[in-house]
Amino acid sequence: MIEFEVTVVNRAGLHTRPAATLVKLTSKYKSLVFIEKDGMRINGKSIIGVMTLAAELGSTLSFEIDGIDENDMAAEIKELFKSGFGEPI
Amino acid sequence: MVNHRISGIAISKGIVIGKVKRLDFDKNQSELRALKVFDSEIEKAKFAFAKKSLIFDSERIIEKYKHKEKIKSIIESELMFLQDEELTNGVNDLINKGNRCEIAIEEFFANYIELISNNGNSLSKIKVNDIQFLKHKLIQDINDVENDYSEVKNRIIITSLLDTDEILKIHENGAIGFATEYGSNLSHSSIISRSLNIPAVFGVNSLLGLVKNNDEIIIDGYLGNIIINPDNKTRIQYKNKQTQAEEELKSYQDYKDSHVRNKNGAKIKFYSNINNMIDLENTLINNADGIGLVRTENLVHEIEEIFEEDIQFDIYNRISESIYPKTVTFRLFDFGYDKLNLNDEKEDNPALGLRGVRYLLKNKHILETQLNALIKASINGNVKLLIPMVTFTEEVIEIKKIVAKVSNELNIQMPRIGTMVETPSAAALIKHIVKESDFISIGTNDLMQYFFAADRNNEHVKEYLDYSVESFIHLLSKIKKVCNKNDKELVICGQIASDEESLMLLVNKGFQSFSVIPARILFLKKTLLQ
Repeated sequence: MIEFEVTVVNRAGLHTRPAATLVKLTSKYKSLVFIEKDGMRINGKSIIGVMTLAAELGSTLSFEIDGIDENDMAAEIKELFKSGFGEPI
Repeated sequence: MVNHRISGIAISKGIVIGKVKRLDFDKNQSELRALKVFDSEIEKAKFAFAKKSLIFDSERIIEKYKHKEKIKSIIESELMFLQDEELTNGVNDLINKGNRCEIAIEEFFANYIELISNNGNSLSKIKVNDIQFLKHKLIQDINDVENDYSEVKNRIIITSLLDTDEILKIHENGAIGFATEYGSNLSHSSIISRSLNIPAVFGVNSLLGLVKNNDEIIIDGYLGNIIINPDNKTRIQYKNKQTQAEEELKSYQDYKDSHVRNKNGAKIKFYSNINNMIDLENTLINNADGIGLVRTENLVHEIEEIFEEDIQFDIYNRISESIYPKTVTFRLFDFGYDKLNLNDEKEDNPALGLRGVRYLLKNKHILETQLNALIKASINGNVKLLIPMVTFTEEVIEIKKIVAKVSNELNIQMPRIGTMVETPSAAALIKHIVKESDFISIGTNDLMQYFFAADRNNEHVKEYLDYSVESFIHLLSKIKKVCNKNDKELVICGQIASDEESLMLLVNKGFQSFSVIPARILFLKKTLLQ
C-alpha cells in the first residue's frame, strides 16, 4: 500500500471535467484507491465520491492506493495533478 | 405572498401576465407514497431500466459527437455518474427501506446536493446544476409516458428545467410563458424560447418553493424578473409596459433606416450595448450601426465558463458573425465591484478596488484565456477590444503587449484596441493614452461617479450625478478635442447617451458616436429627427 498527498493547482479546481478525468484514470487500474480531504474519505473510483470533496484551487488531497498496480496508478495521478488537468493554472 | 419579486436570467423578451401551471416532472410525492402496493424488486427494476436507457442515450450521443471534445466530455462525465456504484447502491438501499424508486432517487440526490452544498465553495454551484440535470433526466425517464401537457393552455409554465422537446410540446399546447429554476443563456432551450417568441426567464433560485399552481405571475423577459401575485397597481403598470413596448416598437420602425446628421452634416452613429443574446437580437432588429460595447462578464453565468476558452469562443464568434460586416467592440472582463466579483478577499471599497484591467493584470491566466477566444473570433475581421477601468497609460501598453503575444501565437492579425476612459486619471492622461489606443470609449457612468465622488448606486447623492453640469461636459469636450486631433474615434457609453436631453446637448457639442441599449436606438433617432 502507498500513501501520498497532492495539491490542486488548476484555477477552476476539481469541477466535473477534472473529476471525470481522475475517475477514468483510477478505474483503469485493479488497485483500490481512497481519497481523503478534511476528514472525508471516499472511493477514488466513484465520480460521486470525488465530486463530494469539492476540492478547490490550493486544497490538499491524501491518496491511499492498495493493489498490484499501485505504483503505476500513483505515478499517473501525481502527473495529472501536477499538470492541472491540462487546464489554466 | 403579494408582489414578491425575484430575478433570474433574461432568456426571451416580452412581458406576460397569467396563471401558473407547475410542471412537476418529479411527480407528486404524497400521491406516490399513498399508493399501497409496493414491491421493492419492481422498484429496483424500474430504476435499473431508467438508468440503462439513459446510459444507452449517452453512449449514442458520445458516438455522434466523438469529434467534439467539449460535448463528448460532458456526456462522458454523466455516463460515469450513471455507472457509479455509489448511485446504484445508494438508491437501492433507499428502495429496500420501503421507498418507491422516484422517491429514492429524489432522496439520494437531495442528500448528495446537501453534502456538496455544505462544502460551500464556488464549485458547488456548478456541480449542483449538473446534478439536478441528471436527476431530472432519470425521474423523467421513469415517468415518461405520464407527462400531461393538457392543462398548459394560456398558462405560464413553472418548472425546474426544460429541455428542447418539452418546450416544443408545451408551446404546441398553448403555454404563454416559462420560468425555470435552472438553465442558462446559452442552452438550446433558450435559443428555442427566443425563436418561438415566448417570454422566458431561467435560473430563478428556489422558484418552485415560492410559486403554487394558479398563482398569478408576471414574467418580464426584458429584465429577467418575475413577480408573484402582483397587486393591482403592479399589474396595471406591467400591462401598460407591455402595450407600450409593442406600440413603441411599431411606431419607431419608420426610423429604422433613417440617418441622423448633425448641423455640419456628419452622420450620428448609434451602436448598441450588449449584455445577453436578447440584446444581440435587438441590435439586429433595430439596425444599430454596430455593437459599441459587449459586457463580456455578463455573458458568462457559470464560473466554469470563465475558464473555458471553447465556450467563450462560441459566444464571441456567434456575436461577431451575426453583426458582420458591422463592427463589434468586446470589453475585456470587468470583474469586481458591482459586477461578478471573483476577489477572494472582501474589499471595504470595491468601487475603488481590484476591478477591470487591475484585476486582469493580476490574473493573467483569465486574461489570456479570454484573449485567445476573442482573437480567434476576430478572424471575422470586425472585432475590436476595449480595456476597462484604465488608470495609467502603462496599463494600456501592457495589455497591448499581451494581445500582441497571443495574436502572434495564433498567427492572427492583432485586433484594434481601445481604452475605456472612466477614471479621472485616464481623462487627465488622455493625450498620452490616445497615442496608445486605436479608439476611445468613455464610460460615463463610472467616470461621473469618480469625477463627482458620488456613488452611482446611492439614492441619497443622486443629485450629484448630473450629466449636464458644465464641469463634466467640459471634461468630455476636452477628451473629444484630443481624439479629433489624433483622428481617433470617440464613443460615448453609459446612461448619458440614453437620456434624450443630454444626448441633444452632446450632439450639439459635436459628439458623433454613442453606444446605448439597443431597444432605445430608434426612440433616440426619432427624438433627434423631430
